Amino acid sequence: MTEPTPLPPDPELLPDADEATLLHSFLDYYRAILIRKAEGISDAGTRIQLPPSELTLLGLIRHMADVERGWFRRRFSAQDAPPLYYDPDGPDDDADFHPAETDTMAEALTALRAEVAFAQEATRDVPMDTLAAAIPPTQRIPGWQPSLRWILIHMIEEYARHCGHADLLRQAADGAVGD
Amino acid sequence: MTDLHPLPPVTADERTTLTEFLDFFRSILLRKADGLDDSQARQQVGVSQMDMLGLIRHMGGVEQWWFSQAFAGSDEPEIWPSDDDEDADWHHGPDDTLAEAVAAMQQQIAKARAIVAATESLDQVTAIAVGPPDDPDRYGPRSLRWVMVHMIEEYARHCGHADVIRENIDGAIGD
Repeated sequence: MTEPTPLPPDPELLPDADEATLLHSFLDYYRAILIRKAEGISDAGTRIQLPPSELTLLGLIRHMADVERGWFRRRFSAQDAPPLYYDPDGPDDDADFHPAETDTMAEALTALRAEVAFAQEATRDVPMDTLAAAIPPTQRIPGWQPSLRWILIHMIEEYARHCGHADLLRQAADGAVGD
Repeated sequence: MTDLHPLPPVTADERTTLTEFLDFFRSILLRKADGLDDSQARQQVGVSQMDMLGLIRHMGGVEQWWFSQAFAGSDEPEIWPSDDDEDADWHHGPDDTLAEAVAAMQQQIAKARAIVAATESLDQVTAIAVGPPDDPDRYGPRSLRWVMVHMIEEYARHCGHADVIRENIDGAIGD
């Protein structure tokens, strides 16, 4: 078995950091926590559910790969980067949450890591007031063009909330708890 | 019924953005507890011992700890006294009620908002050192900025727990 993904430096080590340092630190920390929740378990464990919720660890990792891609490639960087796991105009626009039997955690983690690496590079040393470069036509709220500050805080809470889901799924899969 | 706090404005300054995100998640967690009776508030899912009553009690205590006790330096008694049990917030008794827990959490939120509003700079640090006293790298004062970001992620993670717990109780999902 391979070693788990190491946690980046704990934000607790940055008690008086500036805004940008702190937001990047908390986001990187949560990225690592979610990935660690998904590592080192059986294929069955990646698909375990707590009904009636349909959430699975595999679905969460696929979802976050597409969330990273949507925010940092399509919106922040105005790239033409269609979603990896769902088609907004297809029969199931939540297909990221609905992996097929043949879909694997290894593939999903590779995709998530690639999107995270892009996001980290695209936002490095960028001022917090910088606005997203593109407003996708499907944006739920017209005129939305959020700042990097807003996007980073949103990503922290999005990861944290999904880590809450992952906490319960992983505990159900093999009893593991914590970060 | 708790109203959902408006989505945080997308181009605001640092303080407004942090304050609005925190209020947004406070309202989401309170809404997850809306309409539950005291039996539903004790319902667990899977192998976890968490329940909505414990989550609401916990966040009331977390609000008190970070804002009133750590940041403002108040020596007020803990709302869920933990003399013999560090997890007294999670370990409620048969007579504890969700209504009481929600009222306590709302009271702590009101105090926290007043403390933040009265603080001029996000650089201001907690009145006391926090963290593990035996770990010098982690033990010390932390800025209000740090506390605000931490509170947002702490609420959001517990809202994730609440999502699964509430859906298991009555099928309710979303914010």
